[in-house]
Amino acid sequence: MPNDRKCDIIIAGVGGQGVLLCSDILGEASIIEGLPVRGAEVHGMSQRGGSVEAHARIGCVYGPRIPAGKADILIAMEPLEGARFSHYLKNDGFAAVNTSPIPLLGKSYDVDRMIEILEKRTANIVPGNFSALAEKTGSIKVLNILMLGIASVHIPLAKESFVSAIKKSVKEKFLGMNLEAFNSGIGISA
Amino acid sequence: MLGNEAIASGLVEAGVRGVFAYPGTPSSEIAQSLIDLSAKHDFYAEWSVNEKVAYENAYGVSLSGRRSAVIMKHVGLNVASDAFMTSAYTGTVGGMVIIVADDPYAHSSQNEQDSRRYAMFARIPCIEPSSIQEARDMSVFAFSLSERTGLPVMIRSVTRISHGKSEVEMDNFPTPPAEGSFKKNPGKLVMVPANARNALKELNSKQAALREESEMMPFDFGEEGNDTGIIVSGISYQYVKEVKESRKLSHALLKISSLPLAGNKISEFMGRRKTVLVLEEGDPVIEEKVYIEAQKAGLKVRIRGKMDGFMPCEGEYSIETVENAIDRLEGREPAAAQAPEDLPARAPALCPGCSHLGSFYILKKVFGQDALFPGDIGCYTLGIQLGTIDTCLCMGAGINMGSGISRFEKGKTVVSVIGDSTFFHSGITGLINASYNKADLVIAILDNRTTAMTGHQPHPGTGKTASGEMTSGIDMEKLALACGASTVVTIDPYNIKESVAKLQKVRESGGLRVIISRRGCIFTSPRTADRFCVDSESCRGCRLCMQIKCPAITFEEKKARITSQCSGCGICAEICTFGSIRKKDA
Repeated sequence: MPNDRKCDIIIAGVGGQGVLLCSDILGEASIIEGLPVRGAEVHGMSQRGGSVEAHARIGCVYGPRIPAGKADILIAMEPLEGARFSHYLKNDGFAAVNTSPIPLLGKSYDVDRMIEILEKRTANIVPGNFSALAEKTGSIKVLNILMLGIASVHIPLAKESFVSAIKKSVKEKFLGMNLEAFNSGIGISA
Repeated sequence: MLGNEAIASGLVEAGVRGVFAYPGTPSSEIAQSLIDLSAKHDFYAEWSVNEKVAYENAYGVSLSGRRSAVIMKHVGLNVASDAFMTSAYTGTVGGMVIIVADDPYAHSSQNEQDSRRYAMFARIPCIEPSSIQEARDMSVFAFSLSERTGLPVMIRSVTRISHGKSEVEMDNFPTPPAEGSFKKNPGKLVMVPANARNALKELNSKQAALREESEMMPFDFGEEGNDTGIIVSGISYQYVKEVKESRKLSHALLKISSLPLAGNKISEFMGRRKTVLVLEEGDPVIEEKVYIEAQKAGLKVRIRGKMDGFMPCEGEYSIETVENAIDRLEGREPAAAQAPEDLPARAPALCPGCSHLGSFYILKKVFGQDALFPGDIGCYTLGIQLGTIDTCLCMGAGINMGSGISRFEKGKTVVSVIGDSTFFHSGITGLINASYNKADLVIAILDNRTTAMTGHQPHPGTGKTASGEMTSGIDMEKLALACGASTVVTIDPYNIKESVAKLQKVRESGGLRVIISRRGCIFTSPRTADRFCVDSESCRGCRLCMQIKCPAITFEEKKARITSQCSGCGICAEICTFGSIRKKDA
């Protein structure tokens, strides 16, 4: 865990996977701890099943975008999207990578190659079929929170702040499932 | 807080009384936030039919002596530009703020036009925030600037401000001025030629005061440094600050936030430098003025920027852009981070179960591959992947371009495709023109009962206002008939066979024919709980269902398969020749 409480996180996925909610929770958790935070996201056209990237910069007082090669953490909710944004990660950065692919308009692609690209970028990587795990927890919809749980161990924010931020950001009906997903994510990293 | 929410909160704090907007990425959340706040803070906010309508409404509020705001994306200002240009002549009474969200890199737009050009064209002040905090502060400040100058004031946002996030401090700003009322003043407000000539003189006479405002701009900062200076505007200021800190650079810095340019400030800064780098996103608007100031002051300073090809004229700036420029400025080879090569692109696509998938399948089936499909702007522009969108130019263009094309492409059926909200925005005049001038054209209105692409705002066809109040919903069928369509046929894009049969007559007849393909967006309309699956025993692998291009259908081991993304529209089950697609057992 970095000491100066600065942490640049890039979240990559496909429109509909909950990338933006994930970055909202990071922002909320930072504010709970009184840290400055910046975020960048793209709405509109890009959300319709296209590639989605969100930047969350904890402890940052400047612009919302992380420069290439400088992200401390990559949360990849989809392997191709993880590979696509892998150059943002710094050399020893941490990557949580979901290995379950979302095909491109019916066409599959080489998942192993994506994992290789990511492994070339960093050895500090936790890959796994987190889609399956999310479904086991209750729904594919909690994949984002589960993966946030995995990364949270490497983010300089207290677990309680994440939990409060999740409580503020998800509907009460789904809170139990989301907290369970978050905890099982932490369990993977621990 | 999202940048757009910060802008909204600034407007509320300034005591805005009337807010008018048409949705468009990246601006949409500003008006949405204001609509949500309007009841609590007792002001009026609406989704207008288009940006020109919004502008004129807001201007009316200003002439009534009250503070007003109009909000749009950059291309929306093209639509509003007629009113915009002359309102600078006639001037404002209550403060009026125009918020325009530009989209460098065209993340969600048809072009990257720079709205600051419009502000210069109309000769009104334009301010550009460099951070989300400033976006909020400027939204308060802009009203007083407007009231001091008697002109509408533009705030230029960009995607990274509007859709950036940061913590925001809310200060206590002075209470807004008391409300006025509409005062008759035909000599100033009725732009007959004689009055227009005088109004131009008055507008021109205001320019010195505007430059003085820029000299005093509270959002401008300078930093002393070496003989290489950076003049920077907008979000790029943050990139420069971060690079200066991380690389411990000692360049002099001048942050500029407004136009017309503060000439004295600029020439004073340049006078003490050998080289000046100008950083701004979009066109070289400030840079051009910097050249002029250097010339006027007789300075021998080297100006680097877009105009000498040193900086890119397209796309967004970033920390990398700034680092790269500084490296090159100092004769170093820039270190570039390499993005992984040749990864397959993941283009945005229509959602599983989207009614447009059915509409496009039907249109292709009825009118054939040879038909021409001039298109328009909305989710359905993604029909580009299905071969049923041949053009996308600007809001409402599809009908008119189709009308023009059909006059000369005699052997081909021309089917102009337009969405419901776009139709109300600027399709109706095209429909009237096509009917009046006897176009041989099919207009397909894909009515999904919402403005889907920008976040599901209501429109005049939905029967609900922005705040959810019931209102008269416009009857599209009656409207099309009243505008002179020879045939109006309504279909349900989920019922493929029935729709294809209904449209045979439309195909065979001539004249101006209107098809209304109506089915609510899957996000805003109730959905069936049905989910479909493929019986792999009887699936012959004919790939017919793949033609719909539904993201939920994949093809594996020579058989179709339906993934968990299925939303239950049943279009694939209806077209499968072998009855291999059926409802999943609950």
